[in-house]
Amino acid sequence: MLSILNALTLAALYTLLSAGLALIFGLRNVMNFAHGALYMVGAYLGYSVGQAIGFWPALVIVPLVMAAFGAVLEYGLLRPLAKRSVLEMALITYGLSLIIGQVIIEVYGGNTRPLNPPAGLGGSASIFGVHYPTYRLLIIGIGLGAVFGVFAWLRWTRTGLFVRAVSRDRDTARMAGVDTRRLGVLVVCLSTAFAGIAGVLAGPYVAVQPGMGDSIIVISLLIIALGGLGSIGGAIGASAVFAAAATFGAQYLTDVSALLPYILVIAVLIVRPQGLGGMRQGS
Amino acid sequence: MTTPRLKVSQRSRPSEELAADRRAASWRLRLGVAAVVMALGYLVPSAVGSVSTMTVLFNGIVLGLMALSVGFLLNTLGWVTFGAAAFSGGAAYIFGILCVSHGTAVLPSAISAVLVATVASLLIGLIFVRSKALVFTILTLALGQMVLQLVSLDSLSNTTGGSNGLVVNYHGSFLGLSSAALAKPGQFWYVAWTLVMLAVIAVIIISTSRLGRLLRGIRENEPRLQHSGYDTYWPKVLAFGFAGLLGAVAGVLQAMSIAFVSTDLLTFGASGTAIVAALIGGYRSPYGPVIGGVLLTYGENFFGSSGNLFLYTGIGIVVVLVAFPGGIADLAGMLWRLGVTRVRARPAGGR
Repeated sequence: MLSILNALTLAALYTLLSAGLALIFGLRNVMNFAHGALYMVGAYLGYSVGQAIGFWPALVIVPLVMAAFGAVLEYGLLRPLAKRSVLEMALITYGLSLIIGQVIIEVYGGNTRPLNPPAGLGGSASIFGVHYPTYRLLIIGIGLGAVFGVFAWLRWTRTGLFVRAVSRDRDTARMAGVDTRRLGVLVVCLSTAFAGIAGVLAGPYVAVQPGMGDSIIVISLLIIALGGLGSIGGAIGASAVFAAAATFGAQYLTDVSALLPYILVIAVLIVRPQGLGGMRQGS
Repeated sequence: MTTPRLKVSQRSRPSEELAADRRAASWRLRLGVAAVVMALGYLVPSAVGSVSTMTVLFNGIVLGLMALSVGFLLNTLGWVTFGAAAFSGGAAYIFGILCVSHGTAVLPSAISAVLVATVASLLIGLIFVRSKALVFTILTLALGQMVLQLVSLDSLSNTTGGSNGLVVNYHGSFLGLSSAALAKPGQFWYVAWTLVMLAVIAVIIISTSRLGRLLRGIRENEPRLQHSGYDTYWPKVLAFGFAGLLGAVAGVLQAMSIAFVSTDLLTFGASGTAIVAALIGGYRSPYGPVIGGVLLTYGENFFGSSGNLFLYTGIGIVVVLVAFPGGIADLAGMLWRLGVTRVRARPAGGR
């Protein structure tokens, strides 16, 4: 039971990040290597705002700030370079992640910033017969709530329908009258805001330190590749797979199981290059 | 029906021969330049007095060799690999483990490490090269992380040293160099420089050969080559295997010079640094990645304390990719070609 909850906590963070990555890939055709750095910015901003006025305001303010950052990213980089190839954009965003990472070190220094859970959530709650840290339950709640919110938005609203249409076939969607530029701004902002939420939530859960973006971006990219590039549902499912392998494997099998997700990604991509939930052929 | 075809081929033959002549001439010119550069490189240790500069240059060309492996795939096939560290770091670990756990002498350890990594790279290539460019990138990313995880496994920590890394003790000498000499970049330089330049020359030969033209053709339009009856699978496997070989040599050189291997060699950052070096130096020229490796290592040394290197390289990458997609060496090449075509264009224009 405990490991299921641990897996859910991890899966909540993974889905927040990979859903954002999948959205940006679907709409903008960009493998955003800077997403890990944005998550780190979210964590540091969450740390600063949290110290100044508290955790709860931070959970609202930081995503908004990050959404504004997303708008800058969209107008400053993604839109002017919309014609570039997906690999070139991967390299450019990788360069961007180096810049952001270094700016963070400039501002905050290279030390780890420990962060306590907000007041009232420091203890543990009894759930399904086990005592579990309340804060982690909050991560599960907010993380999965936000992601399922997006899932519902995509599934049952008109704008969501347009986003899905563009992800699946941009040209046809444009011919049918979908304004892809406006959707692009919306989706990039949403994606960076999600990175912000993930960062704020991760602060008290993992240590806030300059390397935190690097370790999670690789996993998130592999998650969206496994789930199918651009597929939100696939990203949610693949996050669960990675989180489960990270928590159950080490506990119940040998530690060799840490390799399983990578083997799975490689195997799936070879057999089915579009990923498990992908509809579009990877190009 | 045969007459017109004959006519066409007769008419086109002279220009084809001309093109072949020009190719051969440029091939000889490029090899000549490489030979001169190689010869000049041997003078470096005597010209450079300080040990710290020599260390920077040594580490720079080793990083450059790894970057060359990345740049080669990027240039010939248009593929981005985020798993370069799997081959360089992997070979470094094989070398270290052979030296430490099996007590193998340095030279056989080094040769076996390069061989194993190259064969592994060919075998992995058999599977990976079937994928399209973007999927290929993700596969290399997954491979890199998998090798990192494999080395970090607790159950293997007796062999790999786990997160503490592995201090490599040498047995025997390497091409006349004792373990003390290997630690001195001024003495190890000659071996490393030879290998790096051999790699550069190999890249020149491959890119001017039929294989190189096939690979560029695959980059531009693979289905069209397939329809024209070319086999596109094996050239890609060979290219991937060759890139693995270059990475493996770089990894073993690095492990040998510092007598230590750690998981840092296998991280996402390590693969990323090789990409950065290839992009900064310019991946379209075989010298570019090596120049980039030296520049990056120099920068790391120069900015060491303030740590601003990655701010500048990040800005550098974004600017270079946005403005000049080929990097510094391409800029130089562009200026050079501009000059050459002007000179050549004059008689053609007068006709």
